Amino acid sequence: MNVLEASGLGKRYRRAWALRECTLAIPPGRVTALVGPNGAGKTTLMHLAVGLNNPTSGTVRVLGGLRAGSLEALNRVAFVAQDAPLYKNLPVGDMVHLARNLNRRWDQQRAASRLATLKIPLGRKVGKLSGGQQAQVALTIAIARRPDLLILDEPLAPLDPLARHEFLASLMETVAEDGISVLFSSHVISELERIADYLVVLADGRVQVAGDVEELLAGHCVLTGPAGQIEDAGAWFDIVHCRRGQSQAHLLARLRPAAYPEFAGNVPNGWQASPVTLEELVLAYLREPGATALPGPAPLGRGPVTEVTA
Amino acid sequence: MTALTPGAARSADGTRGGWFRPPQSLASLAWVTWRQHRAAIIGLAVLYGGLAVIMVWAALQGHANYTALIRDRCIGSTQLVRCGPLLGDFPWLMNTTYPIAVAMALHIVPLLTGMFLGAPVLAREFEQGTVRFAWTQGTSRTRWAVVQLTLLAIPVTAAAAALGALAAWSVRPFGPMWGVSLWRSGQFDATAVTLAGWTLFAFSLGTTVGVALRRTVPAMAVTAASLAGLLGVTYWKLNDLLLGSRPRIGRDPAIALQAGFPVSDSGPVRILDAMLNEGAGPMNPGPAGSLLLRGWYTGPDGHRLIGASADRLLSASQHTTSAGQWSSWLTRHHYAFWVSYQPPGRYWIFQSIEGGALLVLTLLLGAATIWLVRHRRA
Repeated sequence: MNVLEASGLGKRYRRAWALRECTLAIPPGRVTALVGPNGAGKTTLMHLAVGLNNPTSGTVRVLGGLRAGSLEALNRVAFVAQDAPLYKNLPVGDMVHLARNLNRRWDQQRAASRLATLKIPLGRKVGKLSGGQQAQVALTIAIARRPDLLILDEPLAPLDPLARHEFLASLMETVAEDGISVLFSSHVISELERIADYLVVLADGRVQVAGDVEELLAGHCVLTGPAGQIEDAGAWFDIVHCRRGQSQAHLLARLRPAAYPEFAGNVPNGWQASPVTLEELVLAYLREPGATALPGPAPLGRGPVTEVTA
Repeated sequence: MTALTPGAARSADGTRGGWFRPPQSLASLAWVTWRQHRAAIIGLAVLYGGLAVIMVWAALQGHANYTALIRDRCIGSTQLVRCGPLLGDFPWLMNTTYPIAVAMALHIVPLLTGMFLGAPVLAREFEQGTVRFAWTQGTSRTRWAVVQLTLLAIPVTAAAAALGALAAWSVRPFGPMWGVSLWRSGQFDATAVTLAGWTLFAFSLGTTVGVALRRTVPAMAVTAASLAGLLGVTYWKLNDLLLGSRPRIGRDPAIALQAGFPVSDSGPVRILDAMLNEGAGPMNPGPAGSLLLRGWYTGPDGHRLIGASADRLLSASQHTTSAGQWSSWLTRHHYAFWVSYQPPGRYWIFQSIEGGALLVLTLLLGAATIWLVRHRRA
């Protein structure tokens, strides 16, 4: 059962495609980070997944085949949209009560205790709360719905570093407690490694990378070697991104799946391999929108080599 | 708030408790509707309540005064010494300002309802982005919209019907006294049936415009402008079409004369149709409670007077000084005055036609609103 399955999914606004031929399967129980530059189609994908929007082409299903936006799906998928839209003129208590009245699945105890822990005054109007508190109220409502899939669109964007830390901590606590699946989009790449165990990178309306974070990290490395011998590395690796200086080149490279049996950890002569961090990996792919890393027998595109003049 | 008890095991994996509540009751969505729109509801209620209080006060005074006038036979009386103080007790009864003012004030009811309740309901959700919240909760957006809009539409329609009925009661003394007819355009659109119809229509027009424009202030402006236009067209044109009374003032000197306009000598008198478009009353002879459409004279031969013979009759009418004199003069000379009219029994049929048309339009707009809610992106 995949929590999210998209096949050939596309969305066109007037003339421009916001999302195109998106085929994706996110396994359950993961915290999935959805990353990509502005306008890559992250919000579009999420809106399609919660039924706020209808696809131009293809299909998207959630929680093992439920039509996105159907009542069964709405009952089991909680969504916090970008900027956490809530009724700002309502006091927090009424806002929560309103959400309770709109849902069949509702854990009032959890909502009440969470708000108490966060010291959010129930009598204050939502619009008078800080951005961090508003995000927490929205998350509280989403979590009190006891969802099987929680979708968060840029939950960290309006938060300062401290609020961001607290938000992620409370999110991770819930994930650990309930074992729910989470899909969240983010610009903040540095936080990803701590919480995400599945990664989807969107670029220009297409899926560029999709995979388990551990596998992605194991399958990629940073190669450092002589700038003149980049071709040697190409025998074992696909080069995602190349940063070439006067004498040395830094490559973010992906081991070819076909090369696994023979590779056994060897790197070409004169080259040094070091593990890659998730941040480096994401940045490399974001810099090379032509490169892809997709599960299954998908071809790995070879990005153009970018020159870095020192 | 009631405490929630964890229910049966949730789903296939069965490892977690469920937090199901019984299927959503109407009451929970009713609470949502009330909580979100109570400011607008209370505002309108205060306004309409104020109108109602004024009308009740005027009606009580007016009815008491009218009864006294009948008792002392002061209606139409010129005996100022005996009737003057009684007439002075309630000066509103002395002219037709009050019924006209009431009809005008009631036209505000659909306008304000459409503007301040109908238009913002959905537009504000779009404008503030809260549709992204509302439409992703465990309630289908069709149900969310249908229940909310219905729950708002019912009370405002009922309130408008009550105001219409109250208005009819409060202007009743003016009918026999001044011939202020319920058929008149302003009054005709402000009865329990038509005012309710207009208010319901205005509300649904507001919601449709709101979901189409997705901006609160433009939606309010467009709603108000189109309602004002529609009410105006109905007042000036559609009612005449519906009731069969087409004003022809100005085209015909005879009609102009009948309506009290100066007649030029140069214009030929073609027909003697008098456009009355007025209820029967002391000024206009006709069956009580009917709408007089047209009047014309027939000569001794029983034919309608046209041309020169009509001219002669009108010249003769200049010598009479009162309606009674004129009437007996006509009879003596074997002339007759005829009227065509809508009998009072048709009043509620025409009311139902207007109300029914507004209801049909409301349903069409409602269907359009729901379609847009289902197909608009958030």
